[in-house]
Amino acid sequence: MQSAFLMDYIFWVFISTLAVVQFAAARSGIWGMLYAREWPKVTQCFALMITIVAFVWYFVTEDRNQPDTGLGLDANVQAFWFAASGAVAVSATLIITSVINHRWGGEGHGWDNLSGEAPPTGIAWLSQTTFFHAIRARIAYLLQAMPKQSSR
Amino acid sequence: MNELDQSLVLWANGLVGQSKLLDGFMEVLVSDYFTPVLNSLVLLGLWFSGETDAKRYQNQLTTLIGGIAVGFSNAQVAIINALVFRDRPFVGLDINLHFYPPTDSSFPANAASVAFAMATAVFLRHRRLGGALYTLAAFWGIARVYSGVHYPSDIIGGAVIGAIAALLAASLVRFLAFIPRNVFKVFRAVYIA
Repeated sequence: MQSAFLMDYIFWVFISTLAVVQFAAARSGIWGMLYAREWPKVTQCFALMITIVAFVWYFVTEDRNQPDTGLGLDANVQAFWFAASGAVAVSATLIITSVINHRWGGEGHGWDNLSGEAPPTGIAWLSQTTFFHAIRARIAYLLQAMPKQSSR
Repeated sequence: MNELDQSLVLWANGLVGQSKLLDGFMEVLVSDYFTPVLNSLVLLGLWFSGETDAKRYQNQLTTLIGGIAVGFSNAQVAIINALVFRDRPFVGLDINLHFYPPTDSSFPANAASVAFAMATAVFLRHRRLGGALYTLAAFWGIARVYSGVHYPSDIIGGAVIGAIAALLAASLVRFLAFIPRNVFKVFRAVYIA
């Protein structure tokens, strides 16, 4: 069944993306995106292992050399589902790590909300705080800045 | 040229069935999924990599160039396919097919063009990582010849197309640098870049 074949592909990409994002974040010191913030080296090893296991699982469980006129996926379908599954995996990472690291991300995140200055931008700030804290700070800043701008 | 192509395919394909280990290895390598997914994961990983903002920005540009390069290489292959059709090796030769029989043109190899496009995009910024992706792309090509679905010249043609596509994509991104700069500014404001 093509749907089962497609589901396998989506699951494989989802798990591999979760692992690759953890590996990259741990290597680059983006602590706010890690499930195990305290163990970056372990995270890298584990992420590598998960990626290898996901690849082995995908190719061992079934014959994947199927024509795209039959069970297989053509290049466009493959690209679409890679992007969709990858986006969901990255979103899940940002949400779950925000919950896990909630306390840590709320303390000493290198920005004073009373200073009136804009919060830092970019993933780099996630080395000091979580995605939720960063987004909340940005929204709070924009709401604070809005009446000032409109009264000018 | 054609004779050399044919004799190389027949020689490589003659190895099918001689070693279970080699056949199994080639079965994974020749797949439509192994190399594209691995390359895409490398590009995705680069998006989040980099110790400084400047390095991360360059890595994110690499990801962007890789994506555009794949689009360009597919477009080039589609144009060439509209002009030229070459039968697959298994159509005219005595081949022990180790893959499903594709029905589109053998030349140029779309698989090689995509893999070499991504490898070149990465190589422009990261020599070692790009070199690893080139090796993987080359192995994908060899696996296709081994399995009897491409001639070596199809792979070489695809590789050249892919490399050209990546160089074009890199030039375009450099020429229109203000577009990614401003788009990435928005991404940075919502902490996804």
